[in-house]
Amino acid sequence: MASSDYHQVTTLVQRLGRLLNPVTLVELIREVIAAVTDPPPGDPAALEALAQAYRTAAQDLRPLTPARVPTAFTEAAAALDDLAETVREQRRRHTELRLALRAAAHDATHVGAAPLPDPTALDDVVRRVNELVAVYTASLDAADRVASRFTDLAGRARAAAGVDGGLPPAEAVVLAAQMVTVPGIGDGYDDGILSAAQLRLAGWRRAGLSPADHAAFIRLLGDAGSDAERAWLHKALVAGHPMAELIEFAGTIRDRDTGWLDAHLSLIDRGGTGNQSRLAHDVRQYEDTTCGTTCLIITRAEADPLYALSLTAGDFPARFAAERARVHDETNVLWPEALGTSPQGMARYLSANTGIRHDWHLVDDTEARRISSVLREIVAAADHGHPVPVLVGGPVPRHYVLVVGHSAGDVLVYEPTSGDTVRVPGADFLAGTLQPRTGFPHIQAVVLPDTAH
Amino acid sequence: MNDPAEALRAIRATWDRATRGCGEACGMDVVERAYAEMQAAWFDELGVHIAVLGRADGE
Repeated sequence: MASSDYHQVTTLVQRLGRLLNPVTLVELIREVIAAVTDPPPGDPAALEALAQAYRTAAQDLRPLTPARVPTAFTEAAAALDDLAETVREQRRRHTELRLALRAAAHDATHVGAAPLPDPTALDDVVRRVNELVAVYTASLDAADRVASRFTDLAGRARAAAGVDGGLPPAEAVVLAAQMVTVPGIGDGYDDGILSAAQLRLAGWRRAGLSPADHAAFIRLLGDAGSDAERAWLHKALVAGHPMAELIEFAGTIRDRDTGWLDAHLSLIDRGGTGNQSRLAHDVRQYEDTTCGTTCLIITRAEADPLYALSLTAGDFPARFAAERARVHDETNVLWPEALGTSPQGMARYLSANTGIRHDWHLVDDTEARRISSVLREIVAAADHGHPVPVLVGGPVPRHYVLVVGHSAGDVLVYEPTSGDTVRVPGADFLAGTLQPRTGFPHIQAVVLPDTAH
Repeated sequence: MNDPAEALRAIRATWDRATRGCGEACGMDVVERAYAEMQAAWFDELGVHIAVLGRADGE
């Protein structure tokens, strides 16, 4: 053995000797026990008191406000109750594990009654510490989940967003109540014609019109045959169309019933699960490589009713097919078409066509904490009315789906192969078990709107 | 209370007193922030409905 080897081994022996010194071992274990002293934060009893206050308010609000108001309060109560139950369970488990850790620590630092280290008992210490780490991690995931539910509920306070943007209260309340309703699709998810962000923008855009355009827009609203028409007119205004196009659009939709409006001015109903079709034609991808393209078309249509109408007016199957070909070509200039659309191409197209900058992000769903916070960003965007393209796959990226809604911990996903919207538990995103509902198990990239700009 | 706007204002006041902050109940700052945004958003939303009811009553 060379002298340097001798020195290294000597150092190692000395280090091990220090670690196995009873005093050092006791100190290390004490540090570990001290680090896990605090239970996962939260006060279950206080959370239940908050939940009760929301439930009482929901009952009292029922005779005075539209149904969506007490419904939101009831859902807030449920979210608070769920969090209370989760925190209570995590704290109980923490107490139990801390007691087990103390016992394991005693065994690892004593042989019989003598204060001597017992390395054979260290396994148990490590196992208990790992279990405690799992409890803390679960509490972080629960925090992400409930924060998303609160964000969803905040996004449903649409009338206030409209007034915040400058709309008169009475108009804001009426516009906020207009929903997309297509036969066969439920109404379990919030699917207002105008999202909270769009209502806020509607007020700002109206205030920013020239006096002549403002007068013209008010005339269009006065001539409209229904509140639903007025909501669609505001959505077209938010999409940035000039007055001449708005006037033509108003003429096209005037006195149409809500069934016609919903069928022609949107491509999907974000209110629930089911097969998405328009004018007896499934809204889905019809080619092998247009899942991303189909998601882009739907996302743009959700932001712009004139764009949706440009497809649904006339021969919808033919126009939809032509648009898939056009968008696919436009988004794959440098990318082999056979591979579908690149995430960069998706982000670029949405930035150029929705007025909101989009960025793509790779996601490593083997890291549970990372996917949990990404999921929070996805549902926050969906809650604000922005569909979010999500790239899923197995060992490699394979398929785009679109997150279009969120309610009570579940995510509403549009799956372009089938053309269905499906309910996906948030836990499936976290666990990488998306396969039954999206065709592939893992989330690998997302294209998120940068709503801060 | 016959005035609907006043009734709604009273409901909001009672609810707001009990729920304005979640304090340490929510546990983590990410939850506290999301809760506070939700509570504030619905406080404002009820305010819009109060304004509309008040106008309907000729206030």
